Amino acid sequence: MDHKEKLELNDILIQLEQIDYISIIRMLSPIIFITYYTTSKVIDRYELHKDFKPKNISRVSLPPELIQEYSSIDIEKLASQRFGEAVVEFAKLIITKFPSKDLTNFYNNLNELKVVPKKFGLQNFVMKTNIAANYSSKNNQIQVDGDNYTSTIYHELFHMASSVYKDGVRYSGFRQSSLKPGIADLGKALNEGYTQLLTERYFGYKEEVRGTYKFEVHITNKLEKIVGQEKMESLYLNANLLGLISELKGYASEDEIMKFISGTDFLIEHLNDKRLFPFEKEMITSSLKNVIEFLFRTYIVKLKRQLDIGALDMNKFINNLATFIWPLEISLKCGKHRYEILTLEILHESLRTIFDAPDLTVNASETTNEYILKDR
Amino acid sequence: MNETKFLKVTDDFGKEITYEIICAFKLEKTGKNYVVYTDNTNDEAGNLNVFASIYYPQDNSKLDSIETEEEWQEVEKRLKEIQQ
Repeated sequence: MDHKEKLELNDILIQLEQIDYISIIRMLSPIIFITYYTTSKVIDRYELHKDFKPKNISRVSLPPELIQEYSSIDIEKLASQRFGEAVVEFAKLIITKFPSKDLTNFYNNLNELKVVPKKFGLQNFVMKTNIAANYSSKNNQIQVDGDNYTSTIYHELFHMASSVYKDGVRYSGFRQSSLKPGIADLGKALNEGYTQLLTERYFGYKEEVRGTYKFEVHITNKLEKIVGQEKMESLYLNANLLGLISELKGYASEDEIMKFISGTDFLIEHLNDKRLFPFEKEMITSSLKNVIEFLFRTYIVKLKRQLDIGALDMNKFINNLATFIWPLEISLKCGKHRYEILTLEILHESLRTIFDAPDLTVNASETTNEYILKDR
Repeated sequence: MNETKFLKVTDDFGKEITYEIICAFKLEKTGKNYVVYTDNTNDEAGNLNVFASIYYPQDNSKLDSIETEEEWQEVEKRLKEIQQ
């Protein structure tokens, strides 16, 4: 090795000392990954579309396995808290009864849920309300009467499992509300009715949970016959009022649907009013008729479609219709007021209109009502 | 056998599209979560149409496109493992 070569070697050694080996090793080290889920499906051949992206996304529902950081239920922590026994009982049942794709809101809310006791007496006296418990999606907090919580907590837990608060808007089951201008408070009656329906369906073995929101339960029970139980439960748990409207647009116009929903909201506020002027009673009667007529007409459209494509024969058509009509209230008594809501004229008119119509196709591409918030 | 898992995307008009999830994983290097999914359709050659996106456990309003080739290679590695 001559002098020149020695110098070069020296240079190389100096350079080698200056290299950041740790960085190099980090760059070369294999990429570490955590697997959340792998299908057991057999995939022989596939084409990976790198340019694909779902468009106009409003909401993404993921199974809990994919959001493990937020979905692992801390049973011990929940059980140790006040009212924890009921919360754990609810959680165990929900996981058993509903598919994980519908439990994103439930998992996101459960671990940080706060359940606190509150006396509603003074609030009810001042506000002239009759509240026994409530859930705030903004604070993820349930308030219950500590002395009598078993009658209300399961209903409120369903609100928790179906609520998300985002950008100042509360999405809760079939209700959306906000203090922001331009966003209507819509769907309260459907939301309370269906929340109570689910409470009675899954916790009805506890006698004390039954008996509230009777009219709203009745209405949402009929609505579920039109939409289908699985679909309706999924839309509710994903807080997808728009999806519910979209489903109904297969059978009715958007204008009719919005009148129906706002009609139920009017009724939940005024049906139990004790002192009424004659014109107020007339408004309630009119709203009741519109709501019942909508349900009846929409259901007949659904049945007629099934009849037309041969999915039903005439006997089943009549049986289904009779089953649907039978529990519909002919009249409704609220306090000292009685309202006639389902008359033979309504039944005849609805049937005649639908069977005489040359084409039952409802234009599902009608513009979405501007009162519904699109940007979620 | 694993229970089949689904990714459900709701658009601005309330329309829901359900995809079957093939796999989901997190890369520690990027800190991102990836979901690989299919609509169970096939292309003309009979290949299963497969897609992949970045998802956010804390934000259920978006799926992002995968942008680097390195990340795509990881997706393909997972798919190859499933094929074997």
